[in-house]
Amino acid sequence: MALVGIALLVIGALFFVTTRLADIASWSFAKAVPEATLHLEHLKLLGFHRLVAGRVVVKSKKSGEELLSMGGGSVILSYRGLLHLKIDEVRLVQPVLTVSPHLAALFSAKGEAEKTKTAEIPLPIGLLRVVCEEGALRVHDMGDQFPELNAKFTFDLHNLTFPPSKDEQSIIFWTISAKRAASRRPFLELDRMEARFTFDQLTRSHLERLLVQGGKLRIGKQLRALMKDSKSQPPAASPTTQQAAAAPLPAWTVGTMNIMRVAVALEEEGANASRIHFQLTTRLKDITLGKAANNLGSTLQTVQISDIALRAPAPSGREVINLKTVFLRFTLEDLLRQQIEEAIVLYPTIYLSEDLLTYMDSMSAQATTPSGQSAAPAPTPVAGPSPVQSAPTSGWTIRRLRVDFGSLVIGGSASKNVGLPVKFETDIRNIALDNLAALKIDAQLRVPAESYEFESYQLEFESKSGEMRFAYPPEKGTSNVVTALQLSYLRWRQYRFQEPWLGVTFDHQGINGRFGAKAYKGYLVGGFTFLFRSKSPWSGWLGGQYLDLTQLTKVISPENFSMTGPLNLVLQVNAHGAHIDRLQGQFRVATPGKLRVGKIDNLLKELPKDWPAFKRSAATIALETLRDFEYKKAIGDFWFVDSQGVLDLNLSGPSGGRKFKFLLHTDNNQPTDYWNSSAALTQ
Amino acid sequence: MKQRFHWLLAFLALLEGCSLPPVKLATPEPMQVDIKMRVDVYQYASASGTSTGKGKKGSSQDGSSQDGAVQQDSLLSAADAVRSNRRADIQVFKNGQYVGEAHDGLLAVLKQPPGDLGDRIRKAVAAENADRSAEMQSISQKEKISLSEVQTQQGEVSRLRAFKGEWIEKPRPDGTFIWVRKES
Repeated sequence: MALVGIALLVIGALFFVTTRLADIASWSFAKAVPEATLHLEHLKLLGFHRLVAGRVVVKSKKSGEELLSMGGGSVILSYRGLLHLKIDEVRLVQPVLTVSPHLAALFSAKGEAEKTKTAEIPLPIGLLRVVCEEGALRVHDMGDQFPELNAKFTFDLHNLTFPPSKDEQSIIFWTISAKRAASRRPFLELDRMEARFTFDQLTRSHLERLLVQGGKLRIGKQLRALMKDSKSQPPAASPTTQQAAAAPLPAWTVGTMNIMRVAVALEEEGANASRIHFQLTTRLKDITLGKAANNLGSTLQTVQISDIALRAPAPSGREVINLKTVFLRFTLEDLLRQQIEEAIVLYPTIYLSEDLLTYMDSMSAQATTPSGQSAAPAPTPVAGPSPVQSAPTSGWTIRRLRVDFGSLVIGGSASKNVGLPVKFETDIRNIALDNLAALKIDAQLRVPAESYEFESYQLEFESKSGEMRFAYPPEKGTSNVVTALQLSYLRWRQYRFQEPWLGVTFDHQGINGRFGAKAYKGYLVGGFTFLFRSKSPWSGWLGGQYLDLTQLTKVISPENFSMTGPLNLVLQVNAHGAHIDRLQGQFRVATPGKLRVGKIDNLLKELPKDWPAFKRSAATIALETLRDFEYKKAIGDFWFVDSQGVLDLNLSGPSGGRKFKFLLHTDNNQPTDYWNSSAALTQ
Repeated sequence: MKQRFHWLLAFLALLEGCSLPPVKLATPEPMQVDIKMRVDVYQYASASGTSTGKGKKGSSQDGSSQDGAVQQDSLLSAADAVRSNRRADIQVFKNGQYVGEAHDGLLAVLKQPPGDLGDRIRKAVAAENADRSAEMQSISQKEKISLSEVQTQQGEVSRLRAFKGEWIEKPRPDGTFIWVRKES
């Protein structure tokens, strides 16, 4: 009877317990974690093997903040499991875990000591399966140096027993985002992250693998501020977090960290700021989790960008620089510091034209502060293998810029398709890109020895392996670019020149150039002005001294016509593009020489044989008089317009004078043309 | 008979007393020959017919549409030829200091000689200015800038491209203009 009574009492007690399960659990939790309260709703035992909770909430006693909440959960027990001190399954339904300083407070120094003590004790009871359905993690208010984190997670863990199993487990996170507390938009969004481990590894603070797939990292103001805060500020000021920070972080290690397809966007402020995107795919091995960001940040990344076209501002909109292929090498830390370790530019084309100067001026204007003062001066980039200089600027810098297979189109643009391209390469250190107003490019562009041929200009030349100076802005005067190019030879039509050089100055009006060359034992100097106008009009002048007429006439009219003596000449030319509009000049042979019209020899040979001797002799004498002439002085002038014009040659010598007037006609001259009439020619 | 003999003696004596003047075949100074010669050199269009209307006309043999295109090209080439010849005329007028480049991108007659030459100058300048005006009008519409601005720009280009010794109308600091001969 007594037994029956005891049994009834036990059953009654058990019944009472089952009706007060929630209160018992809350009381137990309060005893274990006095800083928090546990609220359980609808906790009930179904049969003797299934404990079900409707809603679970853990709140901070101090602040009332929900630290952990669950939409539901269940514990499945079995007699067999209980016999082996194992719970078959624990299922968490939509748990929301909030990590904040209040959660850290639960593990105060006192609690920490107890935890340490308990951590050494093996689990008294094992879990065969722990399932989490669509959990949510929220980390906030951890101080300025920590971002706010939000993520969803799920797991299905097996065999949480002692000794720890070596079965591989995984926790999957998705929709992960991180942002500064004050910001609206996250700087990091990851599509999916999976952590793989074994419980055995967890006891050694090690994760086998972390796999990040897809997402977006915005490198900009937020991340830069976070980096600044983490370096400049001590950990958060609250005593609890101070304690938390004082506690040494576990040195978690990761065997392999794979990051795949994370789009990195470089975000700068300003309407015309660069927008650079690239995809980050990398693998880090044997890293410390606490230093993963550092490892990732210091890993050198290479990004390839193709076909970048920089255009002049409206209304022109013409292409001024085309970068066919650009390789950018940098670390993420570099990006945060607004630095690019190395930029390798292949096959760039710079169109040295009015549009380029307009573009550079517009960039300068953008960099100018509203007060009209330009920002802090940027350092002058140094070409060649000079040591890296410090770059104390607040803007973007490129530590090393290498350019290969570059093409400098002098006086042209992509749309106009005129101008002469010259190949170049360079290696510049420390280019500051933040402030083009203060930017001084004084680069030495290396010009490789190369042959060029421009059929439309009937021009061919070979550049010397040397250096060409490219300066912006110039030392004096208005904004322009100055170059000087040394060539080993140049051919224009049938005329050849040795050791030519070309120096050009650019401004908004156009290109002003000077050139010189050795030619035909003499020397030529000239200049030109190429105007940035429609149809590309240009004017030029040429002066020559002591040009050997023997050589020159041999080139102009081989075997037909020759003169000797040193020639001095000046000429002026107007043209547009490759078409010469008009030409005018004068020449003089100052020393005695000889004229020979070789073509007359053919006439002499062809005199009719049936002519009487007297007639043949007279004709021979007349033709020979025309053929050969020794002169003391020869002067002349000429003008040509659209390939037609007049050349006057006046020779005077001891045996008389020769006055030749050569008229060059096109075959469309109308009879009414005035220019070749007697009246015009005698003006 | 004796008288005849005396006449013969007298004639012989006269022959004896008279000697013929020497004939010099060499010249005391070197002989000078002055030659003035005009040589006309004509350049004809190549077979491909790229430079003149004639060449292109010659190449149009089949296909009406092609004929039309070629004919149009020929007309354009003819117009170009007329303008090219006119430019040569204007060069002569510039060489003769009759015309100069005005500040508005047009030509100006500075000195109009009487008679036929004066008429030629006037007509050539008028025709060239008509072409230039049409061209500047076209640039104005294309570039969407005012005609006066185009004229100012064109005047500047003409001044820059003028040859040494040619007349140009140069702006003064006070906004007026002055005719000068280009120095360099």
